[in-house]
Amino acid sequence: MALIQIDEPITINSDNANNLIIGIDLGTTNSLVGEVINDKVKLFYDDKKNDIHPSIVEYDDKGNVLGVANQINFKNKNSHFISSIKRLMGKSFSDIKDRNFIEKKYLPSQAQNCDNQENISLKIGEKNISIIEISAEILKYLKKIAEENLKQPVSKAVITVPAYFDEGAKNATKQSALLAGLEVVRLISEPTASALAYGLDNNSQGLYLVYDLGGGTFDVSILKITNGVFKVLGVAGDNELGGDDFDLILKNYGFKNPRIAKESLSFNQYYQEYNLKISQIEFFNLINEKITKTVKICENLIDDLDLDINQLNGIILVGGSSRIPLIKEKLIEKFGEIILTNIDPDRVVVVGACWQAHNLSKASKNLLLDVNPLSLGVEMMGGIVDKIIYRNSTIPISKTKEFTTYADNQTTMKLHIVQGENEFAKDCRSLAEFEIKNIPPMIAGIARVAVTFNLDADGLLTVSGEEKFTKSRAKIIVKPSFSLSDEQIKKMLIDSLKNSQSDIRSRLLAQEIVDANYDLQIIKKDLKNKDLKISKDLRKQINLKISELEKLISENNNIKALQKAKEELISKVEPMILEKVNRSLSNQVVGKKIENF
Amino acid sequence: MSNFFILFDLEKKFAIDGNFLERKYLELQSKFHPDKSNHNNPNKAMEINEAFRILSDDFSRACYLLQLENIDLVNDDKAIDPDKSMLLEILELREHIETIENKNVIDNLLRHLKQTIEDLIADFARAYEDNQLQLSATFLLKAKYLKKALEDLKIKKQKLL
Repeated sequence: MALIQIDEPITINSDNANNLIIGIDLGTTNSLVGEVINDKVKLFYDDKKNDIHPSIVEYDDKGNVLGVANQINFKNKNSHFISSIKRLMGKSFSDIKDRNFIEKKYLPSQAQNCDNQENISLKIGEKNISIIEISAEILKYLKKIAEENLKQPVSKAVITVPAYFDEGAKNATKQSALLAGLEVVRLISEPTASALAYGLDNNSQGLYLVYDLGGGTFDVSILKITNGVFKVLGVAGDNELGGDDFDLILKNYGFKNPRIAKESLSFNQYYQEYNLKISQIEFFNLINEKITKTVKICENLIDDLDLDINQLNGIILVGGSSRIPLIKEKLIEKFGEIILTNIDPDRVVVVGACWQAHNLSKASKNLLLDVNPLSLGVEMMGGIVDKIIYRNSTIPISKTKEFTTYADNQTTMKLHIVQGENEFAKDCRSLAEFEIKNIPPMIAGIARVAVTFNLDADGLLTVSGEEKFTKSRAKIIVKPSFSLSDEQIKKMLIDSLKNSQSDIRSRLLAQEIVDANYDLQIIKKDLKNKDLKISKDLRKQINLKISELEKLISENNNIKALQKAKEELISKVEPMILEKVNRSLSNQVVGKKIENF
Repeated sequence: MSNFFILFDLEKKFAIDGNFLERKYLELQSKFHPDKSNHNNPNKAMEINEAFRILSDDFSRACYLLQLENIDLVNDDKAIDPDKSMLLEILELREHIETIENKNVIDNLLRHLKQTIEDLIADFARAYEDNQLQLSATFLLKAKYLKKALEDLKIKKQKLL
């Protein structure tokens, strides 16, 4: 039986686990995890001493997870290896219908539409598995590694996302974290994390440009660092430009292993595959146009923010593709010798995530002020977008705008919320639609509906509308229609708890200890209660069981023994509890009429 | 009544000390940002962000000063009656922008527009300090139209990339 708590509830601080926040770089190709310990970032290693964990999940034919990251075994002939899942985060099926797109962008070829809605699932053996679940497997793995390194449960994280992740992709990331048992304390953009990593390591001040060229996307961010405050001034980028494009160029040139060719050409004058040979100079000529474009995007952002090239104090290079020497050359040509490369581009993002986690968990003078990368607006009559929050606005931000009815006696107003810079809604990303009802019938243009856009510090949007006369309201937390519902998430959480016993062993143990401590506190209090009649013999037996249980708690490893000791203790105190319940009930009944009871 | 100038300990006038404004902004956010504050009042951080955005930009600050005098050029299309010749001038400019395809021409026009807007805001500031609110508003309205043209031109430039 369970203990019955009749006194005021007691809150017990089991440990400091609640304040522990880890930093995670959830990358397309690799993921990393760490924490700031004694003012130094410590990255967590797996049992093979790797701190870079490939973002790959291995499934068997039944859709069971066989391994993640360095656990996987490519020799398993019947396994399915799922990688690059991040490219599908928050995407709808219509986004990826074009199979060429899938191939060009290295998307998992299993991607398909399994439920005739917009959800993308992967067909893995017999099972359809959603993108969010697969991403959650990687996060679960990172969580486990952190817990093994720290020897305590972890439940909170700062996770980095590309600056150009839209609302859908951000929400999908949060959902997969939830599924992995992690509360996302903050999402921060990857370039911002990089600036944080660089700035804090070097105690920098001034204006910095972060040039982040990943596999699939190009992001650029400009930040101003003043006394530990990191203010993002603006971000720009190209969602369709990345290292993959260079691979494609080399593939079209005839190379079977374009990735290896690309990586080799960053360090060598020539690359040869069988009879096919290419020089570094030829390769640079082939990718020159794309690189020039990234530099142009940087210049445009500087222009846009009314800054001058000479004001920049440094350029931070991020992302594996930024290792290509031509990029450095081009940037120096344009901006001068201000390239900073004393942090490894593969680890700079996670270092920033760890610092931000540290900033949020401990009292720290550092503060990060981020912006929203894309404008948010409402579709007007004729399909034109009325922007409500402009891109590069510092978050959190709230904006209200009034709208009115189009037709006489119009009683509902439908709001279509979109994200993007295009003038027409059809060219922007559709985020959500909602209705404001019960507008009193009036001549067109008289009703006033105030629409408020709220962007929180994660950059997640809530929209509410209020009709001014009737105060009729509607509110929506913007989630794209193809994301998972809370119900689905809950079900998946329960399923995942059932399926992966070993994964959650440490969490169960922690929970068991919290419960046991709780019970102990109540029992000890009852033992002191002189109103309860407890025989000397029983008191002795109970005390014995208490010390047994306390010993197991301090050992903190044997969950079975702990459960058993707790049950034995409870069976000993049962008579005492029954008496307590009895007394408590009779106390309540005395002097009260039966009807009221 | 509270306003953004009071929030930043500034006098309500057009000319402000940008460095002081920025220092004050960072000071306030270090206190009220959700990452820093236990009061759990995200609205305060939003207000500070909005106030800084408005006050740190010359054009927005000018519009805000007029809003405080109940002339709302930002949200109300009929706040003042626009001058006909000014409207025609803007119309011609927009037609001209439609036809440009050359990057250098765009760059020159961008520079020219930025300068004109700056001058108009300076004209606004003088009229405003002289308490000629209606006159100051006409300068600002023209600046508003030119700013829209400037934005369109910037988009056009990006597309040429």
